[in-house]
Amino acid sequence: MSPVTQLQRGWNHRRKARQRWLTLLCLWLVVATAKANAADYAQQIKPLLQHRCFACHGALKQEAGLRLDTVAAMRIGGDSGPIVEPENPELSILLKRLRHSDPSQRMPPEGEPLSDKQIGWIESWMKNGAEPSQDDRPQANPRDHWAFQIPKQTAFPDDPTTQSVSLKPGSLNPIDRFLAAKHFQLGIKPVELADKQMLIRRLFIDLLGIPPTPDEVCQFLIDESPDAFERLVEQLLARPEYGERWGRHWMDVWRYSDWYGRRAVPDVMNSYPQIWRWRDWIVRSLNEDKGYDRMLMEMLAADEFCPTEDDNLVATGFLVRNWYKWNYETWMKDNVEHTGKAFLGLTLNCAHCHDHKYDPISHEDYFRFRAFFEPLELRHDRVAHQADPGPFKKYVYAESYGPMKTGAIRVFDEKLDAQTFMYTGGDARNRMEAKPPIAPGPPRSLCGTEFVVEPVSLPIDASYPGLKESVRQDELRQSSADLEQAKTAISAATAAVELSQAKLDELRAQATGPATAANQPTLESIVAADQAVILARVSARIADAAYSLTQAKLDSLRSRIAADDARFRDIGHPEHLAKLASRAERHVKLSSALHAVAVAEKALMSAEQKLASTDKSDEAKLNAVEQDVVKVEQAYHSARKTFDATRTALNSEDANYSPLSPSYPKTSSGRRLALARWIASRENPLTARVAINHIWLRHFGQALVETTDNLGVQGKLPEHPEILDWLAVELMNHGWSMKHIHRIVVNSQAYQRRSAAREDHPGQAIDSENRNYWRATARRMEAEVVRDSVLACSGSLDKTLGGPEIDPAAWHTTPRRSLYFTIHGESKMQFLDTFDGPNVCDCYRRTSTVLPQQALAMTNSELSVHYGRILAKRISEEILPSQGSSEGIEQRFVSQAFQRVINRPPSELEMQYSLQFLRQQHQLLTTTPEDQLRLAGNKAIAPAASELAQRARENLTISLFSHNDFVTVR
Amino acid sequence: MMTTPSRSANCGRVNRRGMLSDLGMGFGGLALGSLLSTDGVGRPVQAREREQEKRPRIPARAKNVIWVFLSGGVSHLETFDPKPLLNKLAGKTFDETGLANPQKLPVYQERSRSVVGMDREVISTIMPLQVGFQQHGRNGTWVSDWLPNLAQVVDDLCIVRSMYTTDNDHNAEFQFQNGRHSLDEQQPSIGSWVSYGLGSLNEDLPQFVFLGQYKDTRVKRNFDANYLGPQYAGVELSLDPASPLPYGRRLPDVLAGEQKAQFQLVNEWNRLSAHQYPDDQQLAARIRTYELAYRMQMSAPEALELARETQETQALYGINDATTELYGRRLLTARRLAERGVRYTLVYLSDYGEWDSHSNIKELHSRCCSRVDKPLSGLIRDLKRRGMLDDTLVVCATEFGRTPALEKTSLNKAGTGRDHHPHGFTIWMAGGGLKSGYVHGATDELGFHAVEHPHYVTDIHATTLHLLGIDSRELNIPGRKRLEIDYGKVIDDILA
Repeated sequence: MSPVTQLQRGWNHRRKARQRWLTLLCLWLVVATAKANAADYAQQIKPLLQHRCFACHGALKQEAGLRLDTVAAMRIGGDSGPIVEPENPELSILLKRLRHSDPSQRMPPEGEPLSDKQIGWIESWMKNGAEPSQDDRPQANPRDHWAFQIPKQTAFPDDPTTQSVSLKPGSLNPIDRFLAAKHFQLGIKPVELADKQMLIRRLFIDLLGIPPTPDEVCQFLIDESPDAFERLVEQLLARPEYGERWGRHWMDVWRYSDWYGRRAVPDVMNSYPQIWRWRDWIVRSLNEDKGYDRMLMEMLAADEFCPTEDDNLVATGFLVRNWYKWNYETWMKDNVEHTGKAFLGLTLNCAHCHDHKYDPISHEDYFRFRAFFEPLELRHDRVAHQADPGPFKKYVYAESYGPMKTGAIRVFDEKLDAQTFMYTGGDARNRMEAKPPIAPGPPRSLCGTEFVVEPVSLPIDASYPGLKESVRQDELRQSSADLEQAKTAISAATAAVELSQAKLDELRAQATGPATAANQPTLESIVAADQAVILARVSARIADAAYSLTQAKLDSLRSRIAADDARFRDIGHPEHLAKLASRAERHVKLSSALHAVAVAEKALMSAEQKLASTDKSDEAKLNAVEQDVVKVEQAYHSARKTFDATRTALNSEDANYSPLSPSYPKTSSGRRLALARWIASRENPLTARVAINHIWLRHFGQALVETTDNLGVQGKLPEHPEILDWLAVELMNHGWSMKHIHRIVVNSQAYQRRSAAREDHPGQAIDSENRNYWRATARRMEAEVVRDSVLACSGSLDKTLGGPEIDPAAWHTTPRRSLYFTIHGESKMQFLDTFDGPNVCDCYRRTSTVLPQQALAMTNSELSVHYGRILAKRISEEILPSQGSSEGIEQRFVSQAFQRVINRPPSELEMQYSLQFLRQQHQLLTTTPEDQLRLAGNKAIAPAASELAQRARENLTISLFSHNDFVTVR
Repeated sequence: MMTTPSRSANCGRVNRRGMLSDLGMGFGGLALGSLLSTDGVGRPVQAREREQEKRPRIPARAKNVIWVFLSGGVSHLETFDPKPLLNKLAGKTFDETGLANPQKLPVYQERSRSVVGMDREVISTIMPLQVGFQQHGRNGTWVSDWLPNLAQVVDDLCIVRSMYTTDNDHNAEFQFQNGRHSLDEQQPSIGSWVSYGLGSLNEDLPQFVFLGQYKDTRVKRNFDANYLGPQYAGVELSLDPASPLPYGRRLPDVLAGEQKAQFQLVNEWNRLSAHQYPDDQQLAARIRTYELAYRMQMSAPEALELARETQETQALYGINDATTELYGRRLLTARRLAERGVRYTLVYLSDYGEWDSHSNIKELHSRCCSRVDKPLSGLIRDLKRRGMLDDTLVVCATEFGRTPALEKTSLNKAGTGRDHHPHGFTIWMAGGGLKSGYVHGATDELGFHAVEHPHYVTDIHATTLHLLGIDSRELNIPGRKRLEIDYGKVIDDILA
């Protein structure tokens, strides 16, 4: 529902109530009738003006010196005087402008004009004296908005233990202390804590994204020490799966996307190949508990902040992800919008076309923010032990580039003096020519002091990565390997010469020896063998030349490295070594030319041999072959000429040599570093709050501020501002450690409560939406958790961390965690999509639906069916060797299956239904003809078991994935 | 959808007894996608609220939409908008015609915006019409000789000859469905809005279906629900009755009986849970989805069983002819789906970019026409004789037209085709409360700009929604700003 609709609904409601009241009033106050028919300022007019006019005529802005937020202000009017004329409404400027026939004069300037009915309200109100309401306060100043004030930790409410209706004595958890006071006020006694079985499942899924194994549950259940839960929390936070689970959460917020555009071509347009290294950086950083401040600084400006840390440069994937080959403006636009939403909870994008309607962000502020990113370009980096991906290719109209297969991708400042110009209407073609270029900076009203941007001078191996030891080693290794190969080729060529020579010798020996009809060689065969020897010898010369060439290349590489050392590191004489390197490269050219001559020589010989053996009577063919000879002859002479030229060139005094890599600017503008420092500063009122809000949302299933990407004036108010602020400050006080926050949250009682409550619990009536956390909230697993948990329950989950994106076609055959599969703007794994997987373009929070397609996926997909079978096999292998009646075995099977899939034993009735199912299935299968049972897909990774009792059990484990308690986290 | 499941519990709160009686049993009138959305407020709830408010509702003229899309850009000049002047002026440049040069009018820049940060090469040598035209029907509507079958049903069509769009490249295709230039924030597709805004007519089938094949996955953007969430996105149905919808078929080694018992077992388990957690709405909804899933799996194949249609009907759609067979099957399937209550079927009646005739337009367009002419006319005839045309709206759209000038550029030297043309093009609609045998709007004499009643693509959305009984302005999601252009304007002139 739109704000307008809501507003209207509110009016309707209130108007109805008001009308009823008025009817009563009129019975005894007839005089009031005239006024009662007039439109109501407080109920109708002020809300209308607020919605349509305050943005330009209110606290934030006073266009034409005019405010419309109080009647007093309207009576004073603006630059053209008073706008309200109670005596003479026809003269009212307000009414004139609202009704103006010229759209350029009519107010409001944007959107539909006000309706006649709405203008009628204003007119009638004016005619009746333009009275204000009793409480006609001016609009609050958006600069005073709560989220723009620096958060502080407020004192805990007084001694909660004495007044506690909710708290176990001794609990000092800050969340509980704040909530206890709320519960006390509201008179709600929270529900009891969840039992350990439920808790461990909740904690595993929350922190690791997979359920616990029966062993893990068992260990926790038997651990009766008071700190068993706290220790479990520590264990889980230390596991690598934590980074994968929470990494996926942050990938939502930071809009992780693999490259897309036209994958089918392939043509990279959006995001970029190899960006998965950024995903691995996220997982790694979370597992290391890198500070949130540091993480965001690396994402925005690792190239300026830590320019030589290859492992962290990939963090700029945050910006790479927004890259759009076809349109640079789009890249800039997305950088502004999503940096604003992800880290600041600000809708900067609303100021793209005009001043923000609600927040103190001007149109110019938008471009100040954009200027941070203006110098950007992408850059390919080499990765140790991988082939050089080559330099980044700029887009040329109508050309498509396939994905780079090796290396890393990151940003850098290419255009250090890039200027940002304002434009109107969100269209870069409409540049505001009169405006000078805009300097970078945050929104003015949010950065009190002068904002300073200082250029960053980069270490030499950042601007010239060819100096990196890893690059040199990779080059040397490759060059040496080439040399080895060339050496082997020489041996092979020599052997070939010997072999052909032996063949020729043998033929000659036969020819000169005692003649028998059988072994007398023909003249032709001797000639052919002789030619073979000649060709083999030329081939051997080619191999020799190739060897010399690779040797020259290795020498040249070494020379270039020495020259680089002299030039950049002051080791040796730069000029001398540069000359040597230059000469070594010319030597490579010479060797190359020599090699080419040998190749041409062989071609010439082959052609001549062919000519010699061509049937002279076939004129056409003879002509063709002769022409070939001419061609190769020309090629041969040309190769000779080149060789001569390179030989002459050898003696040049030139000192130029090829660098080992492209070079980039030696300084960076420092713009993004300044931005990152401003965002990560303790003085920034938004950053820590936004982070806490995201973390809280994912622990509890509801956020403290519902609008996670908008903490601005139009966002929702925080539900528990004192908790939000307390945790925000706590985050900053503890080195922005997210694990520290997880600990506080999951160790709170608020987190550990049962999700179910009796129907007559007072909370149901007082706080039915559980805004005060008097119980926990049952939730459905997120898409990735559904898939990963099916794999984990069956014992099949491959826990390998990180690596290149995996083709979603392998979604059920490669049991890796879901976050590693390709996901991008045009395609995602269908199974994940069915369960509300993330929208990679915009996912500041997930949706969660209940759809029949989900039921079909759990029933018919290869995932649930095959891994259900694998699970059944594992359980059977475990229990079948044990003794017992067949009924006893089936019971143990059911019990085990429940514990593995939903982490609790079956209830009595569940057991009863399950055993009945097993019997019926067995019955059905034994009465089914053999040929129908064998319709197995032979490509299945787990076909149905041939033993019928086992097949029945398989059908039970498969069904368990459809048990509500599997996808539900209670 | 910004609120969380927990919030849900309240909004559409159901009393315990009412809900338990719902469990496991039939229940009617719920939209497939809306058993329980994140906020717990399915659209039916909203519909109820709307009912309570007694807002004036637009009377619905149509129940279903069959939205056909021809990808690549159909030449308006060679289909429904002939400009004989082009034959006279062939070979001249726009500057030499003596008319105002359409490329120098302000509207030329205003209406088009290039995705690539540079403009396309401008071409301006006029190309003559590549096909002949005849007048057909009671109003003498001009139809290209490449469309002999559609010409026969022209009295049932409502042709809009004054469309324009703002993207001069193929992202205009997605723009036609979601209303925004690809450089701007993307929006839900029109099909997903329809599916969001209307309840279900048949809960055993998806509400929004996509029929078609594509190699380029960007085609999915045509039926993406964006911020409305995946439950309102188009569900791709394959034409194969054995495997019609995703996960809609048992794996080959699962017997029907085995699976039926599994559905029963799951139902029993979950009903036990429902007793334990009576106020868990997600659980209640999940129980329903399993029943629905089972029924969908049974009914979807039937809907796709074209063999149940008579030979005569199949022939009407050209299924008996190799040239028209594939598209004929898609359209006949669309009719069967509409018949069974699927609200909106997007039929992709081409491969991605199939109509994109930068060279050899004569050959390419005549071939493209021959593949769709018979099936489309068959659809109209079939709907009409079944009385379905009254409440089924057919839309046949393309992303843009083609230039009146021939394409000869540094990249394409052939000079035998026409380039992309967003400034003026033609689409047609039929049925569902529209005038028939009607032509609305016009391009200029050269077929360049839409000049008489120009319509941006969302005007077709607004008109479609209007015919379905929805005011496009009612479709809003909290926290998502929709612009004026998103709502579009109803084309009143074409309403019957």
